[in-house]
Amino acid sequence: MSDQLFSQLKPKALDEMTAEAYQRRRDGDLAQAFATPVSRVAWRVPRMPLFLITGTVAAGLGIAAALVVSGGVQPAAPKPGVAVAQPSTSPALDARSFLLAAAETAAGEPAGSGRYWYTRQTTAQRVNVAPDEYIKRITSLKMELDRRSQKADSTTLDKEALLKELELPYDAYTTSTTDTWRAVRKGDTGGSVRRAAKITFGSPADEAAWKASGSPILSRDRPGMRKDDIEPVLSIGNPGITLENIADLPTDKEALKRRLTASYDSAPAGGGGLATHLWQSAVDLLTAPTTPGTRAALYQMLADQPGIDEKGEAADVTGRTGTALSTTGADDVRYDLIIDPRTAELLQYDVVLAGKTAPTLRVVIEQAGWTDRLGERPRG
Amino acid sequence: MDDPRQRFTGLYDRHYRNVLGYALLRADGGTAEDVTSETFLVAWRRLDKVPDPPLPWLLGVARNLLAKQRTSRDRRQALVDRILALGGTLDHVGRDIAEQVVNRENALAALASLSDMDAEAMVLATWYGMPPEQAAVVMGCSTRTYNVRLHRARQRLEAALRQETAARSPEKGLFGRLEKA
Repeated sequence: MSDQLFSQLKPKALDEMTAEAYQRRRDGDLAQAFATPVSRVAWRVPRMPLFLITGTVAAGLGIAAALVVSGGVQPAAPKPGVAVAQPSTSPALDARSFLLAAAETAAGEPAGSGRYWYTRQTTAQRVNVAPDEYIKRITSLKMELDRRSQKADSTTLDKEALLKELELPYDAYTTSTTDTWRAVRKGDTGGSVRRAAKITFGSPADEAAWKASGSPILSRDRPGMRKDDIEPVLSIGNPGITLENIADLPTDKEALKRRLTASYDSAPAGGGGLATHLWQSAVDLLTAPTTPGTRAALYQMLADQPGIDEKGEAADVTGRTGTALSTTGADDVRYDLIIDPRTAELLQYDVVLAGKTAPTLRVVIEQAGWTDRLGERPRG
Repeated sequence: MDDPRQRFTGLYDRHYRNVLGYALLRADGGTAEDVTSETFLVAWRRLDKVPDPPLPWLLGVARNLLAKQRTSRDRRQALVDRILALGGTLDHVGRDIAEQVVNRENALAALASLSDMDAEAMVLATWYGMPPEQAAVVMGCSTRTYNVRLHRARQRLEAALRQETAARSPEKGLFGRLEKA
């Protein structure tokens, strides 16, 4: 959960700045390099060896450490949730048989291909503070500290207290839909189109409270289109999986589980433990261009997991019906999925934090598939 | 590879934006661009020594150059502050993986509580999708040390998230009125 939380903090400005600088600096940088002798260390002699030595030593350490880890030595970091045994009940019979049936369905779906992997996803989340008010306050706090010539860095600004103070006294939600085209081939440019966010309220009373407080703007998210040719991260918990190699993932459930478990073992995961890692990985991979064989293996793997309940038929927010599944990680975070039994496609998933009944996050996968043209949706 | 120029151009085209993006987390535009140019100059001179995958090595070189910049100019700006200054506040990313997310403002507050090293570990894991042994190359530390930093960062973010949501009032039909987009 914290990974997804953090990944969204990447400033959009970064991609724009780097794309612009790349265009501007490319010719000059290449010319400068080609004018520099390769064999001999040229100007700025004293600086060069230092980086090179550091870089080489670091690289050596990395390789050595990787060998140690794969040799079976436990990583130093304790992994919360690993020691906490999941209730060892086998999956409820209904969930297991549903997942096994989904595996068969997935295996029978046609394997697609194309130049771009397209998805349309709608995400809903709660609005905690009015953005303009927050920016105004944080700016004036920072200016105040600067005036008193104190070091105004992240530790001197109590943003958490400010957020608490500014928290909206009513329930409002922002919902936004994004179409994404991810290029499979290196060098191809992908892109995304983001539509304007919609605001909804928990109840008419919440809406009235918003109006009474002067109807502040609740979302500064702007619609827009952007190009993106940096390789997308498909599954944060499984950094080795890319659009280029995702079709090579195992089609055998044991091999697939070993692969996903290896990712988990090589890095400390969040508080949910291995079960949550496998579940989150399955969600990531079910929305990515995995082969029918890998999707079948994913469902078979989940069928063997304990603690998954079948909750009967359910409709997603767009009205499509499917079968609801639910599981709770070692950190008490609950994950609910709705899967279409006819196609074994994931329709929607919710994240419900401990002690809550309503989801904190809801993602609806409205469409996913292959297309050959940027800006065009798959047929059907 | 037969032609070093071709190989270098490929390296530059594939990784320039990633290296500059990383440098921008540590320095202002002009400095970051100069450091990135110099990083690739180092790569050109040592083309035969650039390992595969090259990105961790390139970021490691950039990181060392940036560290030098900081001590000479004494204009150190914390990573976390750079992220906020670059518009992380209430900004939104286009990638849909990034949209599987809640409560940006809380995340920013949690980010503010991370140390620089721990935040960098998260950046490499989540924005660059880097496996631990590669991220350790960038940070010039052991995989084990890197994993400790990453683990600490994740725990802090999760604790901040839990705390925040626990303090919240009971919800009323959160998504009941969510319409078809």
